[in-house]
Amino acid sequence: MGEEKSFFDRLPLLDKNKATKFIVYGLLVAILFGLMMMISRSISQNAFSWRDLANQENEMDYWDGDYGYNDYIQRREEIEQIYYWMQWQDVIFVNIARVGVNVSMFFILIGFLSFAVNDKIDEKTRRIFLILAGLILFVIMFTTLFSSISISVS
Amino acid sequence: MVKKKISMIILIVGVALFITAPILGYFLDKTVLCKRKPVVIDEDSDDGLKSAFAYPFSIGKDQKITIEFSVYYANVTATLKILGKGYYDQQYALNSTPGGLTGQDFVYSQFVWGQSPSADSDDERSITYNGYWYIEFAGDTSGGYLISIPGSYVIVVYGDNDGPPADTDVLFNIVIKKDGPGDFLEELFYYLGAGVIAALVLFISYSYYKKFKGGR
Repeated sequence: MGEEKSFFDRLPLLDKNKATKFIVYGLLVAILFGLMMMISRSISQNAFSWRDLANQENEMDYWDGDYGYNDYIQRREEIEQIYYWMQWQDVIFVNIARVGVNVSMFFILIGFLSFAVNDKIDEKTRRIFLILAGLILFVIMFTTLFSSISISVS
Repeated sequence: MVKKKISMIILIVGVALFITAPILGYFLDKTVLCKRKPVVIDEDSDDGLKSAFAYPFSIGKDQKITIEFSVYYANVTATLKILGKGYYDQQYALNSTPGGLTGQDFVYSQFVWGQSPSADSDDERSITYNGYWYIEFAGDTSGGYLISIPGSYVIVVYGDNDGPPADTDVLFNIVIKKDGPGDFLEELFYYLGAGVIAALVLFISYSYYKKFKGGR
């Protein structure tokens, strides 16, 4: 029974397989959170189109006699509430996605860093990995610490 | 394998709750209390409350009833009023003339295609020969809007037949609906569905975390 090392003690010394896994899983998680961010943004940006459609349907249901004036008013207020939620959910999900993307980028960083310190890989390749790790660290630091700097895909 | 099965069952339950929510909301939105086409009363109802049609009901806070009131019969004039239960009982004992009684205000509307929805309020609606009114009631009104006053009320309909003296029947159609538990159940099922799916996500995340930790 050797002394058990903590998660952080092991991090820079990942072997090739584990480092590759870190990069692949990190990318996968980043893509999933990015997708979530894009869907959330799309719902928010198209909320007004949905509201127009829902209001038109509400009016037509009233004209059809499906419900009366006060039900129509109540439905109209509910549509407004959902419309505001469709816009507000963007703030919630984008922030969750931001955390998720940063965590996954940290995993990718560890993966590249492990390649960079692996002495079984030739010097030039390790240098490229180090540059890539530095680049990712740069992105993480700036997107985390400065709210005015962000990466957006549209 | 067992975890996968549990996850699948939880997912199915979550999705089922999400699918069931709007269906429940739609079907339980309103409960039909009374649907009679036609109701036959005598024209004596015009002179005494004891001969008039009466339907008692109770409403809670933020609850309303809707009444579809129509007449499609020749020579008939029918009038609808909503009275407070206590006031009705008092006037019933006296067999008062319904026309002289003051009813509670309700909102009435007709559906006109292409025009902005609107409604007015009054304490009685009469139909002569032919007509239809969609009535909403929650206790009182402010313009076209309802004010919720929980309590017990009675819908009263009385009328007259202008035809030959032998024709004394007053025929009218009435459909009375009350707000059901649809809205509440729809919201509840949405929250339950969201809760179950959130629990599933946490469960899967925890499983991966344990697997990841165990693998190291």
